Amino acid sequence: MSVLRDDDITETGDHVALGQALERLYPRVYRAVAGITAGSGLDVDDLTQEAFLKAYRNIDSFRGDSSLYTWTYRIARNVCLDAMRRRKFRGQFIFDWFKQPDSDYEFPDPSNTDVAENKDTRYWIDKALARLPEDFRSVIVFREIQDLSYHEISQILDIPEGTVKSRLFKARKMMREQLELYGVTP
Amino acid sequence: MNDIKRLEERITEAIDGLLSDQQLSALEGDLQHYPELLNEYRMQMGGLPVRSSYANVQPDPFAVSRLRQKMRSANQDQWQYDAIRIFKRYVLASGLGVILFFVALHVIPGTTNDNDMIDDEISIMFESLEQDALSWSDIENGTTSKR
Repeated sequence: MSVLRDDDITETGDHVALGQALERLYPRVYRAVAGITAGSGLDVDDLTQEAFLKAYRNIDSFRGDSSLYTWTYRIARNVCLDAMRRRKFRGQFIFDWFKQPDSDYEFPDPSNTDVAENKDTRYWIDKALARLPEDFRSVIVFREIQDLSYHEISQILDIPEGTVKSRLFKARKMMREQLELYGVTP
Repeated sequence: MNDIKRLEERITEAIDGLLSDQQLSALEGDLQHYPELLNEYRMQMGGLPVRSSYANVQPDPFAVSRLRQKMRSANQDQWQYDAIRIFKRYVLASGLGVILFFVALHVIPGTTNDNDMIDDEISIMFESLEQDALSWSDIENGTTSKR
């Protein structure tokens, strides 16, 4: 199920392993960060770099309970949540795109699906993601965008696999309902 | 585990293509008793356009080389990072511990200045009683006193 398998990465638990995995891992973590922080206006590139640097500096604490890349994902998610919390604490957490809608992104008539299809679907996906509670957003990001297995998601989020599945069911339901409101259909 | 949660989990597995045809038929049979879930199952089978819309999300081409540069710098100042981390974890924690210890000492009864305060209050009380006694003696003697 997963695109990036355990044996893709030499899990020696040292800096070299992470360094070697960078080319493959970076774009994937970047996409995960983009999904988790969707609509927050936070700098995805900065957060991704911060996550990798944090992983690199703390590689000694990697115990090998999970694979190196799920461990990196977990760090990336924590970096995102910390950044969003800091932003919220400062009272600056605004959905930048959504507070002042760009004229290119006008709400379409839900009955006219062509309008949404012709626009950048990513905008609507991000808008729907931003409306999900964080726990649900993460499972959508890790399953739908990252194509990770339930087991891998359960390791990243530190929840049982059954919870991953039921949470995924609810998250998909919420996403579908939001996207329907915006006139976006699969 | 209740039936609804179990069915939700199986729906998720079905959406992700993890059930055999036989299992799918069994699931659909079970869902007949739960029309709302059956409806949601059918809706979710259509999939979400999330993956396709994120397929083109890419970091800038120099991001990895920039990160490698930062990692090299991180190697050089790793001791600073470690020092800050150790400070945060141990020195700061033990400092807070010492402060909490002294606060606790101050708050625990018997270790405060309560005794001195009580002594002061008792002496004030005695003084006022003494004055009251004097006032009564003034009244008995037919004289007035101004307090």
